[in-house]
Amino acid sequence: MTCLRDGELQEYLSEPAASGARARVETHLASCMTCRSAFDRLAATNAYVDGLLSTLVAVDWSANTDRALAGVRRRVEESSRRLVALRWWTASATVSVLLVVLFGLWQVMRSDRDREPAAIATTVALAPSRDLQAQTAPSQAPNRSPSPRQVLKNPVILRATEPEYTADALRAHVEGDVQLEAVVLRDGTVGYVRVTKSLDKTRGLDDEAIRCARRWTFQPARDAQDRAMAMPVSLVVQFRVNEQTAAPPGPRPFEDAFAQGAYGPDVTGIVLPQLLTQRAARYTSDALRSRIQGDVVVEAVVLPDGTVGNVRVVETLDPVEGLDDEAVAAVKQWTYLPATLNGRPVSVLVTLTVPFRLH
Amino acid sequence: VTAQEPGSDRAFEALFAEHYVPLARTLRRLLGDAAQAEEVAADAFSRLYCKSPTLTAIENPRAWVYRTGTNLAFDTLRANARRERREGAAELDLRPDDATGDALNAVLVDERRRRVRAILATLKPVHARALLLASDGLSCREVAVMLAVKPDSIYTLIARAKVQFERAYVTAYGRAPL
Repeated sequence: MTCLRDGELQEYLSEPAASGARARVETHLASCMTCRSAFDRLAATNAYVDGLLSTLVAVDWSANTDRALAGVRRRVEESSRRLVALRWWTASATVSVLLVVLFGLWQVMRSDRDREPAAIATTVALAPSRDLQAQTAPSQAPNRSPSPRQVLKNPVILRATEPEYTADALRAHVEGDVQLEAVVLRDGTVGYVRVTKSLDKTRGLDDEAIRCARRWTFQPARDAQDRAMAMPVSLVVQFRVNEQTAAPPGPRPFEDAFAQGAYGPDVTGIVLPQLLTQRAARYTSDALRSRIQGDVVVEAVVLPDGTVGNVRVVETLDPVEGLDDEAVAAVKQWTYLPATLNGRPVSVLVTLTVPFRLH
Repeated sequence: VTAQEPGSDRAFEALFAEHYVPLARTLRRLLGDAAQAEEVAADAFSRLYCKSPTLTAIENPRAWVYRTGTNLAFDTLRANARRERREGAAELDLRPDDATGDALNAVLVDERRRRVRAILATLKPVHARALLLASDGLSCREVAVMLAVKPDSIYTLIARAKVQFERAYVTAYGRAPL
């Protein structure tokens, strides 16, 4: 005889009169103690739960259906409006974000294209470091047996990113080398890096050297069994200011042979040189006899040290009797307080007039 | 046109006319607040309209709206409980019948209502929904129709729901005499 299921017992409890198998349930309960016990438990549960749920008695309450329906329609309209607004907002936000991203990419691409290295910074040495092997912190050191393995191949640099000058270091014209000790791991990446000889702690070149060294990749060292192994190495990073490209932004200097590297006097921000000592041009005897008078106009490059470099005649007075040459010779002996651009002495091309007068 | 003839906007109106008040009354029992119950019932019907204005996209709109309405009511119940915990004592949910007893009895009844609602909110939604509708005076077969459950399964569902409810209530508050 099959025992009764919970559903059958509940049906008998809930609607005994309508229960289709009422007779079978009653017969079974009379003979099966297990089902009788389950039935009693379920009946007690029903009584307890129904008693608790009866506290949520229904109240005599009704609602205005028409007013409620109007409220529902109003809700639907508001919801539709919100949905439309949300879609517009989402579309606008998406387009805006897209435009911002595209603009950012364009700016990055443009800056990359226009960018020139302001400094030369390279690694020039790569040698195994014995000191670091002993000094590397335990957490950084590779965890392996303490017996040293024989190195067959030293690490080889595969990719070295160029460090960049910090603005402060470039302004201060700091040049020199940073010596580093680093651990080249078995996967070719750089693990532990420290500075062994500092170049500049305040303007960030030491940190820049470390930052760059951490991004370098190596072909790892190999032992006698041709297995990759971690290995400490010494690295040297050079920082040299590139005079050509480290110049302040703005108009570029002349590039012809005569005035190479010199700025024009009309460059924005340039402070023109000031004359300190001047040697007067002398008449040649032939010019004096010929009683030649007038001006020789020359162009001269005033160098950053205040001396005059190249000089050339642009308006001649006397190419035959020697006054032009005398003017050039005189100007070459003049000295200046040099021109400056953004506080730095620079070469500048100036136009000078050398008068020749008879008294 | 009735709720059983979907395909037009009037099908929705007929369904609303037939079931808004019963649903709101059921939710009123659960929430203990007439305004909140009307709000939640209206919300359920507006969601139904947004989902399918002509009721053609939903297989059993009546079961759908009851399911959505009770789910929203349970959410509201939990939010009310959180708010009450945050703001301190809540207002008593007193009924006209409660006024016939003394004040202490009214407070005790109110406390029991809160406990029952709190336990309902912790049950599986289908169990809580079945208990709520069954205690609303509907027959088990009517509950099966409202919940879109097979008639053969409704008794088992209700039996399990009651066992779960009793277990949760006794665990939380002890077996208090009725």
